[in-house]
Amino acid sequence: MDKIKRHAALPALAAAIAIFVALTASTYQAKDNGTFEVRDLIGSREAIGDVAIRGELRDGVHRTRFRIEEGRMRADTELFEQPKQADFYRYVPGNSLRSGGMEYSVQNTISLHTIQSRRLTDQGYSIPVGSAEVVPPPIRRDSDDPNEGFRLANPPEYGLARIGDSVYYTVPVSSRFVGASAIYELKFYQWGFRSAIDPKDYAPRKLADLPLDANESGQGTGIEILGLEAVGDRLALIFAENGALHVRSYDVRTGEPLGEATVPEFRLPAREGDSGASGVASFYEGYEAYPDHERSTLTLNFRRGSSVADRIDMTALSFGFAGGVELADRTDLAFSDGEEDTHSGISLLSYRDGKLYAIRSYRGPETEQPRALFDIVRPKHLYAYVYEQSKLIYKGEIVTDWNEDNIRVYNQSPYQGSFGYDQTDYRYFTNVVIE
Amino acid sequence: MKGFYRLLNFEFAKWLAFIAAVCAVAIFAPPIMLHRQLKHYSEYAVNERFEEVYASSGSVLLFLILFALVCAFFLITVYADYWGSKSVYTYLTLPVRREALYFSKAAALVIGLLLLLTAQLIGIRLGYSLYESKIAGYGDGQFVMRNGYFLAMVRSEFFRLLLPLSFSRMLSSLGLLLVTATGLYYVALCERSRKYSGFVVVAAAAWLGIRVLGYRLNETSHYGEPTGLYMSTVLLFALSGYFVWHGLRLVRRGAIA
Repeated sequence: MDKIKRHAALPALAAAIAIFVALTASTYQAKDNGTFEVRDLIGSREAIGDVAIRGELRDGVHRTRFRIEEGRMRADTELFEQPKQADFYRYVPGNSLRSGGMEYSVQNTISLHTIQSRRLTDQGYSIPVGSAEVVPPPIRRDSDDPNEGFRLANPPEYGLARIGDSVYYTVPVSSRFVGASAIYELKFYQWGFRSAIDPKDYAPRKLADLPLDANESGQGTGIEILGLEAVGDRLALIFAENGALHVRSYDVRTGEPLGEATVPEFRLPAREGDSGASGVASFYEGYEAYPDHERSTLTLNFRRGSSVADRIDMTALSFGFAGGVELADRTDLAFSDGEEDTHSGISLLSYRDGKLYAIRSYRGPETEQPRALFDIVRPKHLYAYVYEQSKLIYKGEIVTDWNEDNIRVYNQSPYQGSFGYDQTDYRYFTNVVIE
Repeated sequence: MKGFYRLLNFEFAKWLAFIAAVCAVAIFAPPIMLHRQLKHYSEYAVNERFEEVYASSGSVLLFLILFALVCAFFLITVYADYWGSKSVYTYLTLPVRREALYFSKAAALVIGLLLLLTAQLIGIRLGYSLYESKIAGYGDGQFVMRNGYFLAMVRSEFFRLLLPLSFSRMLSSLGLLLVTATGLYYVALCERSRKYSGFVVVAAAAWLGIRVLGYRLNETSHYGEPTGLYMSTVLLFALSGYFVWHGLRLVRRGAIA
């Protein structure tokens, strides 16, 4: 015993250090032990062999970047030096436009649309930088209509597009607007200095005229501008006229129209003057836009009224902008994999080489996990779909452990109170991209 | 060097029984406390995550108590030299350099703290195994999180403090350990040599340590730029260095007699 006592210190130190290092190493090595795999549900995985799908699954303390290339999944986990706040941004059509570290939003009145630019910071807030103004075209009065004068075809942010350092805007006019509208290149003045500037110096540059003669008579559905999108270095104007959808491309320097594609039989719901051609499905005006600047394509996704319960019906229209504009693909999509996740859902479309790729996330039905009694913790799923010539040829699920973060809420009843849902404690997908 | 080795083992021998008991408690008490906490867990109950059960079982508090006990025991070993036989005089006349005297006591404390830390981590690992085997026993294993031990270790602020997995946090934890050990010894040396002004520096170190701890235990709520904590870590190391330097001076001069 005495002998042990005379030499105990250093072995004790060595043992403590050895165990500590071993525990640290084994914990660190466990970082990539989570599930990350692709499960084929329909068709063969070869369908996604031509593209790479990448993205990340993160919470407040770590993130796993994954990449599916040639059908194989690779994932690598990174621990944050310091826990990070959740990044809540996701593409929601009609919300502020984000581009190049800036955020643009529109405040509109009958006589003036003010576009505000804000610089985004890493800490999740933004700083106002500049403002620009556009005068909208006049509105045809109709004293019978209680909503007189307050209708745009879409939220005004649909009319924003950014190419390089320039921001373009057109008012998403409804058929109530008359006279002439235009596509403008905006000129921003310092935010907050409205009274100190001469508005003439900051008048927007008119790029292209958009006559609204079709709206003068008040007969028929007239012309409605649904939005403006940037595709590479071209502008794409999306508008509906005479029961058809038009996509017109503009040269961003000269404002010359470069071509136009027309999709016939395109009805917007509940429009005055609509003769109501029966049998033609109506499309909701709030579209999602997925431009591919490298390949000069633009995929527009229009929601349709669904006749089947729990099914989401959409039509994806893909346009090529290489020469003029041409409709490259039209695919009717019908998803019945669950409810849309409005909180942190992923929605992505990409058209290339004759195939339409879709990545979408859903909340599963209530029956999938009966222990999850709050909607927000119902199991979620992320799927990849591939369509070729409007036919679904592949569907796969990107399987991870993200739903297990909800286990702590199982059996928690809404009748016993609530629980704190802090996104830093629950993993979520973000930055999902098709390459 | 030989003198130091002997003194260190002599010092550490005083610790053996005590630190063995502390480690045994740190290893085996958390699983027992967790077991109590998990008594009502079933497939019909709300199953909290491991890190929450661990904290609510009192195991975090237990660590604080054991930590305080180790510190108190160290002070006892220092002050014991002045009681009864007044062996401090014997120490000061030993034919070894007085630095060896200083470092043997300080090293014994550092070893003691490291042993406690390691034991607590073993207790966490054991506790997780217990937790996992308990919740895997019902509901078709639906309550088990895959890779749950890792997730608990990176998500819990307390676990990240004990077992940091990034470089800046490792340095920060090491700084906290060193400043505690050297500061504690320095307090005793200052008191014995009646250099009460040293308490001011110790108070500054304590304030800094508490600031760092507070930051580390609440990192997500900070809105500012993420910090590497390098500045505070450098300060912690500098303060430790000062405590050692001045403590050594006090011992060398025999001011502690």
